[in-house]
Amino acid sequence: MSENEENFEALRRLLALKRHEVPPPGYFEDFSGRVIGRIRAAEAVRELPWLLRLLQAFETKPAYPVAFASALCTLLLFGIVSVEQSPVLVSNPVFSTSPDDAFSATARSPGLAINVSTNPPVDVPLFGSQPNTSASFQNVDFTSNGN
Amino acid sequence: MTAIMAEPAERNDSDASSAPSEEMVLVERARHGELKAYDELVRRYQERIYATIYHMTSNHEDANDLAQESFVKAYQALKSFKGGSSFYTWLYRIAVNKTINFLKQRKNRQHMSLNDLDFNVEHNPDLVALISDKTPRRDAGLSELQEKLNAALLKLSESHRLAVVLHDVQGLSHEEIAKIMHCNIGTVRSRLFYARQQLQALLADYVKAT
Repeated sequence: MSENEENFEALRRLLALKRHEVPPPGYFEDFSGRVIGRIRAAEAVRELPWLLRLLQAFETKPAYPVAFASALCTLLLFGIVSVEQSPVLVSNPVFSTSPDDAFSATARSPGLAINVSTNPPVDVPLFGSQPNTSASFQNVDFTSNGN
Repeated sequence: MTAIMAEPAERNDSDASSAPSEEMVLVERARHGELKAYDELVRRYQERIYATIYHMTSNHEDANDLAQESFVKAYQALKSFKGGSSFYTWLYRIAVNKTINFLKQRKNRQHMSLNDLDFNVEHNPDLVALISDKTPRRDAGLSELQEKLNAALLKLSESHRLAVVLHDVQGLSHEEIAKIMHCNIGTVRSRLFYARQQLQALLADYVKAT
């Protein structure tokens, strides 16, 4: 034994204490069974279709669904932001979020408006304007005459 | 169950040399998907692999998970085992790499759940003599000593701890350790020397140099 080994003899004997640290009784009796079980489970997972494997990964590792949901939210936010900032859509009032713009756009560009009514178009007098007798509508008096 | 988890290197070496062909047959059968053969290989090395990981982590639950994962990984990687080294050296390498990676991740949560000492320890003449005669703190109980020993080991770097565990606890030879740690024998010796010096300083109250 070298001099160094002799110097550390007491330490080595102390380290021998580590050999007496044992796992719970019976631990090694079914250790190999657990290993083989894990191997079989891993092989079974590998034979599954990719979608089921993904779902299995979601179940076993909680970080995966969190990451997936975060990615989905980010994608959604990115989509919303890019739609709002898109120059084509912003310049087109039909897609504007302001109801005034949309209305005026419909009035200016009838070609863009979608006509969903089957009724014939009528002229609607604006409130406050003079009654137009030549229009298709007539004023009706609903007040009773006392008879 | 065996009371002592790791025996000295002489036993390992003789194991490795006495039946290498039998082992290679088992490896070959396992490589072809025969789980019964792999079960036999697991049984051969489970205690040594578990012990190495346990002494590195000082935690039974972690050692349990890592030992099982190491065997599973070894099975899945069997096709890459070329037979350049013995199977158990290759297996050790997988377990050690897995443990070191785990320890790097765990760096900031060093808690210990120590296992109980087995009853035979009280009949170990070396330890009894060490505790009763040579230890300056004679009132130190075995549990306290065990706790201090583990705490001191955890203060070493992974590579130094591994050298001490494999040599002084597991009893492997310098050559085997060099193969497992992918370094030369000189490096193993110097790591061992440095690690022992550190431990000697950390355990000064318990170890009196002879």
